[in-house]
Amino acid sequence: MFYDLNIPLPEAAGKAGGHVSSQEWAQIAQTVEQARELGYSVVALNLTVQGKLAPEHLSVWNTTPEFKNAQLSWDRATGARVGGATRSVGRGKIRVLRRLTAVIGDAAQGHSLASVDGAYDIVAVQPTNDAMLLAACNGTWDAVDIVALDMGQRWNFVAKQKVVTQALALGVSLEIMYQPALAGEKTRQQWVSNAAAVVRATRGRSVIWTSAARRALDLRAPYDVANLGEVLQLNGDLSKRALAANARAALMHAFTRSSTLRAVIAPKHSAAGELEGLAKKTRMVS
Amino acid sequence: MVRFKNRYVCFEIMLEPSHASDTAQPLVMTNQDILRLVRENVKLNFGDSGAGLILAGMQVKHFNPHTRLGIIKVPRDHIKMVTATLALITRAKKTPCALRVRHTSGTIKKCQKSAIRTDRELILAYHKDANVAQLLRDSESQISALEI
Repeated sequence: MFYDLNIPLPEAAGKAGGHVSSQEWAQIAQTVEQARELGYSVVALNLTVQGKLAPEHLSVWNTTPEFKNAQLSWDRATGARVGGATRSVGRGKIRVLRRLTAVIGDAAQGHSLASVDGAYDIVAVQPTNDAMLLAACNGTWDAVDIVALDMGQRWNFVAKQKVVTQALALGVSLEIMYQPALAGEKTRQQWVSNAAAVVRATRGRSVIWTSAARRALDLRAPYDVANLGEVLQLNGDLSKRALAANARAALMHAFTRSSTLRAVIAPKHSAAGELEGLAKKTRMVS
Repeated sequence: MVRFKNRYVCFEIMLEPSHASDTAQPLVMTNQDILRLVRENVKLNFGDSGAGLILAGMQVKHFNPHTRLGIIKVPRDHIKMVTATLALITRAKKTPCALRVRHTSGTIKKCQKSAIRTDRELILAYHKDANVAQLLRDSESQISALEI
């Protein structure tokens, strides 16, 4: 099973009152279809939001088109989440999830993360400075599954091993997206620098490969992506794991966080508020 | 005895989905063009030293412009560098593209088998006109005729 947990929605969609045009949706649908042909079984559409999160951001998903051969993790009519991460995908079909990436610059923006819990299948955080990186990695915010770092830009912080291993201990994964490597000479250099830094800090564990593909041609077949690790000193086996096993672990982390009660009870069809109701009934919440 | 070992890489060039569905447009590239494409990209990503390491040993064995499937021979010591480069290729002669490695093998025999099978799938998927039988026969005979 190969996973691609980052197919981004256009940047404008993340701004207040943003929406995705039907042309842009068509391109995304094409990208998803290409991912299916290349052998990926699960993809996540990624909405990137700068700073504070608001419930309006959810309205972006109201206009999703019909995806061919895909199984969506949400109901197109109502926008509510459907089922759990372990629902099996039919042969030749691809599972599409919803992901949120919050670009966080200060602690106040981080607080708003709690409000979207449960609405998205995966929640990622993109810290823009040292302090936020530390906050993302040491568990200040419960609702984090992936720490994303912008691979094409120069960072104003250093990814230290001490900080990053805290994230690994919590089960939070670090993401390496490979679209900047395809974007041009300068971004490629920056990409190698950043991605190698991530690999060094994590020693290759809990790293996941994602595409951040803007169009179908930005996608690469799974084994080709694993080969890219050669440039980053991410050896063959670790690189393959980053594609499959680690990505699955990230999904499981997300599922456990949002759809289970203390990782013990998972209601079959988690409706909003059902978990809280269960918690009150079984007196697990004081 | 020290034997010079090679890897045969069977790859496919993928074009923009809209182009691909226009079936008949073959990607006009010769073996020389493919060689130059790979060499230039190795130089771009791994510098003069990288390009020099594969200068002598690399060879394009086959390329089918209709299905955009090719086989190249690469020295085994540098296969990782070449496959990483193939993943990073974004343009072939000004056409935006992406490469996909279908099969890697130490002998050309297995590569040929995989190439024939993949070629067949691609022809049947994209060229649904009367020439199908001819294309199939051509591709199979061309690939089978490759020598080491």
